[in-house]
Amino acid sequence: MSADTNQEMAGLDAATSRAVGLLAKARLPLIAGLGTDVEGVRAALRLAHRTGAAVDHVGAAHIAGELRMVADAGSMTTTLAEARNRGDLIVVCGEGARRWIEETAPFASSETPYDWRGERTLLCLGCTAPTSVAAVAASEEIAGDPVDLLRELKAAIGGRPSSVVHETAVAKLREARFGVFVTDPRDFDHLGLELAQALVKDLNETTRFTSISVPAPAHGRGANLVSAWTTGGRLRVGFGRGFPEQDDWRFSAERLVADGEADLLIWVGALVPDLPDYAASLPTIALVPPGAQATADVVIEVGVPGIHHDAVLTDAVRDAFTFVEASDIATWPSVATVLDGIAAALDAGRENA
Amino acid sequence: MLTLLKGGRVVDPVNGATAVRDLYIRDGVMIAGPAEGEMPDEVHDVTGKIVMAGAIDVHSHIAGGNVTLSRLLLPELHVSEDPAAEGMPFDTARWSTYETGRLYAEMGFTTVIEPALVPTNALQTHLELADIPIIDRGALTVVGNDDHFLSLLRDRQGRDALRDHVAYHLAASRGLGIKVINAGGPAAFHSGLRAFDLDDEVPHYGATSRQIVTALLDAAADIGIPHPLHLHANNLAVPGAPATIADTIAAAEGRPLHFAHIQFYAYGKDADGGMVSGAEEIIRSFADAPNITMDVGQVMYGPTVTISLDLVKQWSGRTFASPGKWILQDGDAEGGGIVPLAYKKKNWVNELQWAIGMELFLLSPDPWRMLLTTDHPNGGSFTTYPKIMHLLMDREERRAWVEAMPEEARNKTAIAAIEREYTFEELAIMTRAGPAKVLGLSDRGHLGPGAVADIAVYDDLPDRTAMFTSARLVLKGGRPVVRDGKALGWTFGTTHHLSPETDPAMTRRIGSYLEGRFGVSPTAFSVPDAPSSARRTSRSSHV
Ligand SMILES: [Zn+2]
Repeated sequence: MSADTNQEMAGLDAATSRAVGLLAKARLPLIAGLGTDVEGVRAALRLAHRTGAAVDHVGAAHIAGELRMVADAGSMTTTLAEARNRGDLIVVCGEGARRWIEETAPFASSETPYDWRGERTLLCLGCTAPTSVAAVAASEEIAGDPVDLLRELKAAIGGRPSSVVHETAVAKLREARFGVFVTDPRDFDHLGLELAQALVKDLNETTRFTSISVPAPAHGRGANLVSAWTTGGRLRVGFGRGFPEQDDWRFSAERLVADGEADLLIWVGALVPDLPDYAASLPTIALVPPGAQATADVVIEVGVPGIHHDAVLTDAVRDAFTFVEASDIATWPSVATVLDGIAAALDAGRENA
Repeated sequence: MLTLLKGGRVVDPVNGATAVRDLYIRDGVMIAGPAEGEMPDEVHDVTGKIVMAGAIDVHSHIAGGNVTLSRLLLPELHVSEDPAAEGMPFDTARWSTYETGRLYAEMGFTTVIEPALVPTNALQTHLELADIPIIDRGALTVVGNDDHFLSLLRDRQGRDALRDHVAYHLAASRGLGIKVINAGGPAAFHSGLRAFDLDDEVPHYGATSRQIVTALLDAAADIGIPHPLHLHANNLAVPGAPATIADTIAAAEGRPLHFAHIQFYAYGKDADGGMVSGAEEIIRSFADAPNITMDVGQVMYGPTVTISLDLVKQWSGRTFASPGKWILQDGDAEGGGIVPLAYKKKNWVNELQWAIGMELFLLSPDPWRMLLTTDHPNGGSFTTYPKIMHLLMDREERRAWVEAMPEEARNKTAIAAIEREYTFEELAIMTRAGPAKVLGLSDRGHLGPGAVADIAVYDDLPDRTAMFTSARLVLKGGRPVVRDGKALGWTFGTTHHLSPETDPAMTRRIGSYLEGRFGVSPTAFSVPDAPSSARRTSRSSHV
């Protein structure tokens, strides 16, 4: 072990002790941000169970919009690869979806293993057509609020009266063989997302339609899935009663801080280095990537998953868990190591008491 | 370390008649007896108790993307309300992997197989399996509906290519066997079809369901997979499906084939086309075909959720969703359909489904080949197994249920006339030796020398439900993991999988296919040791 590593270990031990000191005093700790890999999320849930903490993730729209919509109404979705390869009509619902398509170019290839797909058609609701889509035979933009447009299209597809008749758009929807709606949960509330899903379901009465979402930031999808199989439910979750309770409102990080309920923040920021504004109003332990300029009571530098250490992360390219080998192995501890270390120190403290 | 299990009534039909006898375990493995003069290090006095091998479940949806989607869809069905036991975080978290492992272990189950391991999402299934404590796990790799396979079939690439394709995915996903779901049906659904029969063609590929099943039977034989091809057949829940099953058995031409949740196919038609029991028709096909194994998929009453990769079926089933919400996911090959259901005692169709499942158990001539499942959670939760065992072992218990059936249902099944009661030996075969044999796990399911010391000890109670709900003692690999019906803490078993030989040329070929299709390297789909071994070393609450 190098002198540097020894020094880091000593530093970690000291930081862990200070973190334990803060945790021992806390009535309701809050673990938030949660930008970390699978092992980090698992460790956070264990620590939360150990301390009665609440757990929230920074991807609020994913939780309160998309996953709320799933729990309220269900959904029809597909994988990004199926959307890219099979989709012959891409319905871009709003500016966020357009920007994501532009920036990550998921439809930039005209290639497909399904040689019967042919060229794509684009229908853009409340946004301009993204330029990164290949093999576009036709493109239509309809200006307006995407929610209004979805409502009007749903009425037209259902044969109900509507103030506006989008004749060519409706024809495109009816002609598609595998249409894909793209939404950004940040552009809609859960009811808006439900509306889009209701239209997708209606369209399936006569042809095939499905949807994809702009991925949640900071491994948000993965964090919620890990929570679902570990606690039975997605985030947000609280352990104050000794078992997990899922509640979007009660365990919202912002609300817990604003209402003065949480009295300690553990910011898990391996993938979200910037502390939220609310961190200024309560004691904070910040786990942040090396070099991040965090202001907090305890700052612990952690490795970035998939860069400084091997990690399992949901892969935005194929929206499933993927094992990512470290590209630049370094000695910073992982989030899981730090959180498990804190839990172990708490246990040791209890035994010594 | 030498352990003695003393004085129990040992029900182990593989190794002889039921008798009161001592069992010896050395370092987690059954042995014939101690060395001369050797004293045991540990003795469990189980005098007066029933002792069996740990039970094995061949088909239970306990892990993976679709199981977790059902968790997301139905929070109201699994609200947690009990504090966790000391040192056992999440053990009361309903529908969590932790609760799953605990509840199975407390019933004396020690190995459970997840039947739908999707190659493009294998890692999630393995992550979830690794978080199921106490029990051993395994999973069946889903094949036969993906574009690469169907293209090989269409382009007549030959039997070896199909074998190599299947071996690749079996190895890469770390499966214990292979499964096909409504062969070709999900692929057809993506292209807009809403029904799919044995001789229907998958659009664009020209392959029929029959051709897919036949090709996979060949592949399973050529690779040498111990578990027969695990088949979710066509026409699930369609009245008249017994004819499909008979045709499919014929298509197997004597090769080993396992039919999953056969109850859901045992629906006949009366003169008006209405649903009646088709159990006798199924049993006629089954009885004469020693190459065929089945699990029942018993329906039990109560709210549950159906989780299936059979998109055709789940699409048509969506109208029965209760509560009225459902998920349909078009996956890279199959995908998944999540449809909540409530099986009701007051609904004659549900009553009939229950009775048909019972008929299949009781008409089956061979407990080695007709295995106990509820297709958890599709027919009901695995936690209803003790009740099902009770109903099978006790005709009086069953009579009460049959008499409560509405006339409309009772006229459509022969259940009322069946007097048979399962013996302990038959039960031990159906839930231990049979599943072990069909899965190729020769070192479990029995208690002979060399077997893994996975053992369940029960009080011999007339109330079989109570008896099998709370094992008095469960040993996993010789170590106590459950006592007096309560798990003792978190230990972690292993996930069994095969490592078939793969063909380097096919590996390259699939690698470039995956790169083209997904835009990522094939390693993105791999299931490395690291995530699970990391778990072993990370400090969690192991006992
Ligand atoms: Zn199943």
